[in-house]
Amino acid sequence: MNYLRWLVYFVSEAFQNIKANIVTSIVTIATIAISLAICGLFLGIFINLSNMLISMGSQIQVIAYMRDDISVDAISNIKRDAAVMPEVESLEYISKEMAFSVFKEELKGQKGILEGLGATPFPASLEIKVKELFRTPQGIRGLISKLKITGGIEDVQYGQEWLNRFFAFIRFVEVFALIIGGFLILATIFIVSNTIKLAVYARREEIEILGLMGATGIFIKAPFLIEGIVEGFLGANLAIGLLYTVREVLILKTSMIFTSLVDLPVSTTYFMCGLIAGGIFLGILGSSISLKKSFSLLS
Amino acid sequence: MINMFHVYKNYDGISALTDITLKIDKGEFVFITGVSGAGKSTLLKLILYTEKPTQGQIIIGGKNMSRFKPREIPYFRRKIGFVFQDFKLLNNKTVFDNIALALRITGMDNRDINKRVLKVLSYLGLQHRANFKPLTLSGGEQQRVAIARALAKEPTILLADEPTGNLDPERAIDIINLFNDINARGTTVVVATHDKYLIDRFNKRAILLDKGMVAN
Repeated sequence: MNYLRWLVYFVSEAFQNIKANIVTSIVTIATIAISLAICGLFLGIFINLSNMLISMGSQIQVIAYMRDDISVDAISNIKRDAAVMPEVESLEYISKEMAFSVFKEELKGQKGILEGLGATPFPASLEIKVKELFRTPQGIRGLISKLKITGGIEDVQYGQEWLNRFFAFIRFVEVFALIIGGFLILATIFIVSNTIKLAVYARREEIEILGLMGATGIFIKAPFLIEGIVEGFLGANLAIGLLYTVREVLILKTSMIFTSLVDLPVSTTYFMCGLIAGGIFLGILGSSISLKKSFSLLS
Repeated sequence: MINMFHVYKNYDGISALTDITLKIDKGEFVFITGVSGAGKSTLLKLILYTEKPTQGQIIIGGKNMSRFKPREIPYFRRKIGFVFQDFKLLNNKTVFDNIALALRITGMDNRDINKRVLKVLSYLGLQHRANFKPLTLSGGEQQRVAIARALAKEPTILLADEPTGNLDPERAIDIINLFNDINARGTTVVVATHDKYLIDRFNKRAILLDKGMVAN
């Protein structure tokens, strides 16, 4: 019963404090909103970039060319063995005839080039799509060595140079995101905790009086923490509004390629929940850091 | 009630109190006196445990303060009422809420808080000021609110640091009379003051501090 009574008191104190220090509260909410909006913008771009890379990754294909003298039975065996390899998502068998007809289709209008070729000069092949987990240089190398020992495979191609560049780019994006994201989060925590510190400092006398009267640490801190939660929640909602506006403006005013990168997933539930949780976390962390500093100052 | 044995307090190597040994009995009224900087406030801070002694032992109500765990300190302070020269009231709260807060922190029921606050307001003649904010009251009235807040929790010890420093002589006498009355009900009262006139007027034990040492 005591806890419920205290909770009611803490919440009402928190709202009274916000009202009494409305300017400081607005500054705190705005700081949280702007910080979260910047983080959200970065996160959104990172999510979009990751999605783009994932969809590019799904196009990774390994082509295994078979020897010309291979028997029909051996082809069936290779197809069966390859299909059960853990790296293989799907595979398609392209016979010599199919390869030739595709080639002919591609050279429509320039049939002269094909004159005198006679029988198909193309080898039969297996076009293999790789599972996401194995879309790494090591994963692909593992698949190739397995394919090569099946026998009957003459050559394997997988666009090595392109893949190496692709993976290097992914690594760059990940490291860049980690550094910038970490820096942004630290800067945000620093700014928010300092803004809240101003609010706590303005009420240091109140903290001192409560301490002298015999209030426990949690009794003194709870209203500030609840204030932090409320301000974090409001700041996060404001950030969502800001990002939504940015998104609308960018979609309307920019080209499609750029838009796909900055088309923020504002309306998705997980993105909104993430921002709100981030706002509340910032509010609590900011309050806690400032309270700790103020308490050490007062004692 | 309050025992100090060879207590020293230094701030950055500068001595504020030196070798203080004193005893204040339960139900006693004591003045701590001396010029500014003699160590009166420091002595009260040690009793309220907002400062720790550099050396020596302080025993209050049979408890050795050097053995307090941090979580015990708030509960200890609830048994001590304090009154300061600058009142230390929360100016954004009403008189009623200022007094109620001292009880609310103990987890007391709202109905009991109301009863206790009204009783103490009536005792100090402040019923008509219950819904006023402190800054709308006179200095004397603000000090009475601070006393009401200290009394509401029915403390065993009442500490007052220059409680009359901001008041005219007539109001100052009123306040000490009030402390006298509180003392008559069994509360140990310790008042730090440099006002010799008050000490002479009220026939109470006075501990004189001089340069951080007991001089009498």
